[in-house]
Amino acid sequence: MKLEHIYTISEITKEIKKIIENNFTNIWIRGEVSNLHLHNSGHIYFSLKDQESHIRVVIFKGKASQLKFKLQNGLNIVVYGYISVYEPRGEYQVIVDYAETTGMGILYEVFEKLKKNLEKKGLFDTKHKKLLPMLPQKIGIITSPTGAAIKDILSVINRRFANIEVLIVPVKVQGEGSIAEIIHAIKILNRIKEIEVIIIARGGGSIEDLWSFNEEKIAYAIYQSHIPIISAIGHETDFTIADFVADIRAATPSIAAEILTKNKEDLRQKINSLRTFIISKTKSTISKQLFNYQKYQNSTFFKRPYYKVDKDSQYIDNCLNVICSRFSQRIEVRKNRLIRCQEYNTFKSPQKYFLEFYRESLKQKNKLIKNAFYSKLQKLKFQTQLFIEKIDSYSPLKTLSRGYSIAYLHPENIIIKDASQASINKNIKVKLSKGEILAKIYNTKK
Amino acid sequence: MKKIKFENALSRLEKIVNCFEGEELSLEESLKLFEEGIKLSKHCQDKLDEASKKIEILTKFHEDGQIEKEPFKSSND
Repeated sequence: MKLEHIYTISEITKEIKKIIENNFTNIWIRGEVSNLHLHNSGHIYFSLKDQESHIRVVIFKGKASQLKFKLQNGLNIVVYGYISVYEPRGEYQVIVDYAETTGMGILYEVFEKLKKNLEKKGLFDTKHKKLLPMLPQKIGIITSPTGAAIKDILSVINRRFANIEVLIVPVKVQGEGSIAEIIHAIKILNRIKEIEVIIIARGGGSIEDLWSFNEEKIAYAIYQSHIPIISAIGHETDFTIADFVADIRAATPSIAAEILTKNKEDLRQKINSLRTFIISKTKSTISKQLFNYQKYQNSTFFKRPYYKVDKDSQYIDNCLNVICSRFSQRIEVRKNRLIRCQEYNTFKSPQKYFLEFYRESLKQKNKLIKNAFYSKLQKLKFQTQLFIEKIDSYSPLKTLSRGYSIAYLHPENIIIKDASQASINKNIKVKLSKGEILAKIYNTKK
Repeated sequence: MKKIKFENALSRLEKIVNCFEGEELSLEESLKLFEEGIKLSKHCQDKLDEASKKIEILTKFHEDGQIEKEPFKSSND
């Protein structure tokens, strides 16, 4: 609704009519008849009222003839029908499909009684509700081939470009024979293998039009179906027994088609998003692993796999170098020593060297000895000279020449220096400065 | 793969996604799951696209279960 729009009377009346007529279809109203007017045309006009309000009511000729009682002012009745807006007068009124006098209304009572009964027997229990297949490819539709329901369903399928196989089982959806046909259709579809879901559909109508779907037999046929059933009967406000038994109630036939096709669209999107998720996750895993891989690849180990070996071998080389240099140093030292040694003649010719050496030393020693000998000799000569001179001065011969003599024991030739040495009759020799005398001891004096 | 039911394929696909969402996967695991996941998603897509659009109406049902049908033409078409 546009804010500054100014409605004409017909425009606003149309808007109101749309709202009212869409929201009040198939309703039950109870009230007291007043202002009854039986028109010549056969239509019946009156008001229904209670203590506080009243509402205009119309029963058109066709329905009026079906009334099973005579309308009177002051009569309490229950009507079934819908609210409509009469545009020329801007009035809303009830258009009656069905009316009755007693209590809550016979159809309503029957409906409520059956509903309670079936509920008690567990036909509506959620535990019996079958799940719809996630992806129904083939569906069966039980409906009138000429009705509004099938048109609505097919237009949804076309609009959604749904690739779905539909098998329509044509049935009468109201009146004589409709119940048997609907039950038979349910059974047929249950015998066709590929059918995955059944839609039982019917367009909007009066309570009597929809009444077949309030039959107990149909309720049981739906209950006994092995294939999930979606009920799509009448308008949003219409509730039938079939709706309560069905596995899913769709408010309208279009909505039933939406349920089936929307699901498919949702699935398509869901699978796409799952797929996208998996792809992106895998991509990120791969790139993460690739990152790790590159990290490792760039690591020293992979970049320069021999780094450690090189380092170690360098160390070994260093060690070797040190060892070698030490070794060669030592060798050098020894070599030098050797060279130095070799420089000595000793090593060139040891025999010659020693021979030379000894020869030299011999020469030296010879010289020394010679010198020592000569000096000794000289000394001795000198001493001898002195000695001779001394001896000469001490010579007994000189003494003898001065008249002294020397007596010796004879033949022992021992000089007698003590008288006791000589015994009587002992021979003695006496040396004189010139010659000797042999004598015999005659006496001794001590 | 051909015979996997759509429902099972989808639930397996969801499990795979859960695996990806969970703890960190090794490259081998994730590639394996990736391959399976892509196959499954393809399978699901195929299943979604598999059925052709066909609107038919049952014309006769035989008691032996045989049916006769013909293309349905809406009164609008």
